[in-house]
Amino acid sequence: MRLKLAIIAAVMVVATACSGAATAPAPSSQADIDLVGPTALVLWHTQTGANAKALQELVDKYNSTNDKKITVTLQYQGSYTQLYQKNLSAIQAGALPELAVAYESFVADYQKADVVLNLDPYVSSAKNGLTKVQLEDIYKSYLDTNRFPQFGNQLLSFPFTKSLLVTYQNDDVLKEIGKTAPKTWDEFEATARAAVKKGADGKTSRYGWASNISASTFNGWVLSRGGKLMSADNKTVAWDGKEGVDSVKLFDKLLKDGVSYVPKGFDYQTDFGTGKVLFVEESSTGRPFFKSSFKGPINWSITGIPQIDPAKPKTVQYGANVAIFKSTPEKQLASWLFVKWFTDAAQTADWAVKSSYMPVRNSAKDTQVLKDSWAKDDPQGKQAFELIGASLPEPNARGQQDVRTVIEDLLTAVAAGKVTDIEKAVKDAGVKANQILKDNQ
Amino acid sequence: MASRAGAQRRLGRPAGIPRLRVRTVLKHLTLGAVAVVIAFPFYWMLTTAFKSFFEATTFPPTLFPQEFHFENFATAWGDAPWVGFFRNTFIIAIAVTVGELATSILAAYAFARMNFKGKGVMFMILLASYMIPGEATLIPNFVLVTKVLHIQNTLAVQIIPFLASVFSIFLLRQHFLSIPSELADAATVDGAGHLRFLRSVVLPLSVPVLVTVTLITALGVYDSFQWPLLVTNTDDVRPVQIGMAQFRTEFGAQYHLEMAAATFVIAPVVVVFLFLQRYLIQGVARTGIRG
Repeated sequence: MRLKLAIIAAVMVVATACSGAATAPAPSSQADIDLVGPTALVLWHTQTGANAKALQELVDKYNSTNDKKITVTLQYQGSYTQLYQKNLSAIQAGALPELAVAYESFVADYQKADVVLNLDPYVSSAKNGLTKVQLEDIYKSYLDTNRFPQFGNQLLSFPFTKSLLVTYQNDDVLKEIGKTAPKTWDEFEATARAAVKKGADGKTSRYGWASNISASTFNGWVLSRGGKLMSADNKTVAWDGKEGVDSVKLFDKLLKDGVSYVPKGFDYQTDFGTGKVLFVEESSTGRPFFKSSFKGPINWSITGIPQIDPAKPKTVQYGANVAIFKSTPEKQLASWLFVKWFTDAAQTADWAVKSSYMPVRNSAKDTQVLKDSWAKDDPQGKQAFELIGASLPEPNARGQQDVRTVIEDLLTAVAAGKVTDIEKAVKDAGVKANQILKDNQ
Repeated sequence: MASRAGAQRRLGRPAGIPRLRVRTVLKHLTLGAVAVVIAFPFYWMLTTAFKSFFEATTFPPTLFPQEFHFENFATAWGDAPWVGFFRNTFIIAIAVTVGELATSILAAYAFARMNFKGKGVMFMILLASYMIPGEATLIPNFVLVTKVLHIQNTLAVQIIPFLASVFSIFLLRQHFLSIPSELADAATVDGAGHLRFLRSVVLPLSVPVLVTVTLITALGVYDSFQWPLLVTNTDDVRPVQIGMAQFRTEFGAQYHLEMAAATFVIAPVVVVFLFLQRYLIQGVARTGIRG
């Protein structure tokens, strides 16, 4: 009897493992219905300026060319935090739009109210879904980040505005100090130290590194050191081990030694352009802002962040996704069809050129629009694009927004010189973060 | 007089310069320093509005623009539908101010000059409601206007919830209480009712405090951002402050354009304030309210 049970258990384990991490989509007729009359959709977003115009152009194109009479209306709703708060209020009032741009942690919070549509049936729909080739064309990490273990591993959102943590490197300064681009953290430290320059008055006139206080950047440091951000069961943080401690120690050491500084606002962009700092770690989407800050032409490039093992590079994936809220079957399908169109190679390439976000599909690199852009205006965009494969998603468990605050409080305390025992501080931050995650289970 | 001159000589001060002069100089120096502190952000806004993006973000900052980029104003104006934003803001500000003045004057008069059962309790309840932080009522109010009243994404949703203000009622009541009761007695003898007394005696005596309420209300509406963002979705009903948010992204800010926009957004407020500041100061002084 025991043997029989053991065999059944073993078969179940093997079967589960073979089925992969993703839950098999439930058969759904809603993903296969025919759209008849006009369908009006509203998409809440956060884009401003040139990005907002580019997004509007794409939406106008969709509205005028789709054969299903779908009309998408864009509505700006402030910053990501303001959009998140508005969505939480809209959930209470039953006034959600059909689609909204959202970070993973936002989606997890919305789904507590069971308002987010599971996209698995739509993606796998023979009639309206994506083919295997199309699905494999989308970066795996971009899809993984939108699967929520806390909610049965459902695909609750889809990649929309993606980017990654990269190093902005002033090549003129690098040449001046006779160094090459560092690959490891040790090389990075040595190069950053070599870049420091002091004026006649003894004040630092050039730093090696502008180290932003950001939870995402910290997550990137941990990943690049071979660490993990969450435990296997996704219930506790994993950044509070050696990799997290080493990351904070380097942050602390270079600050104390005057090699790096904590920027205020976006002043690191101008500092970079004027050669006052060698390295900045920031989102790849910051490229146009860096360029605007250059007084004259400079030589610069984008590289991966330093690694423990450069053969297996890792960085953190940035950017938001789009969630579809539960509504009528027609609106849900229409929303999915728009998302599918928007993330198709032609559109994602167009969006990438105009917005500086990364395309969500690998095949976008073969589009003429992206090739031209990389060749003429944005070679650094290509450098960033080539690093996408190394980018890993941040945790998407509920409570992650507050966990980010814990990390940033830790880094702020270190920068302010208030932390004497870094190992204990990281451990304590981990305990606090785990309590937050527990409270949000 | 002789002893004062003697004291001045002992202090080493020439007899011709009175003690008052030193105090006045110190007072004016202090006031001047405070004025600089208050005016500096405006100076900074104005000068940044003329700078290039590079100059606006460079460190150390420049106190005066190296080059004047007048085109910043045209660019900022073209980046958002400002005409509509200004129109909406003026409509909302005027409607809220007029409505709030009407309700506040009547309520304040009732609490100040009329006797009725439960007046004290009602006034305490009114004041208690003022103690509830706005954040606590934000979502319930949003649900109310969306689910019950169905007025989201309209100008009305930015007007109706603000047609009564506890602060304005309190401010006006404090002033109405200071009007001598003999005037009310005389008006009663002359056959005037409450409304007549209010219109012919109380309001003419309350111009400074009414201007104060008007300014505080209008400026509050002009500056509001969170509520309009929450209850509106489209630019055709949104106010100017939402337009201001459109110069920022998560990766950078167009400071020079943001400051150019801030300059033309606050211009109407500055003009109104310059004309009415005398009344504002008088009004605040008379009611004993401190900022």
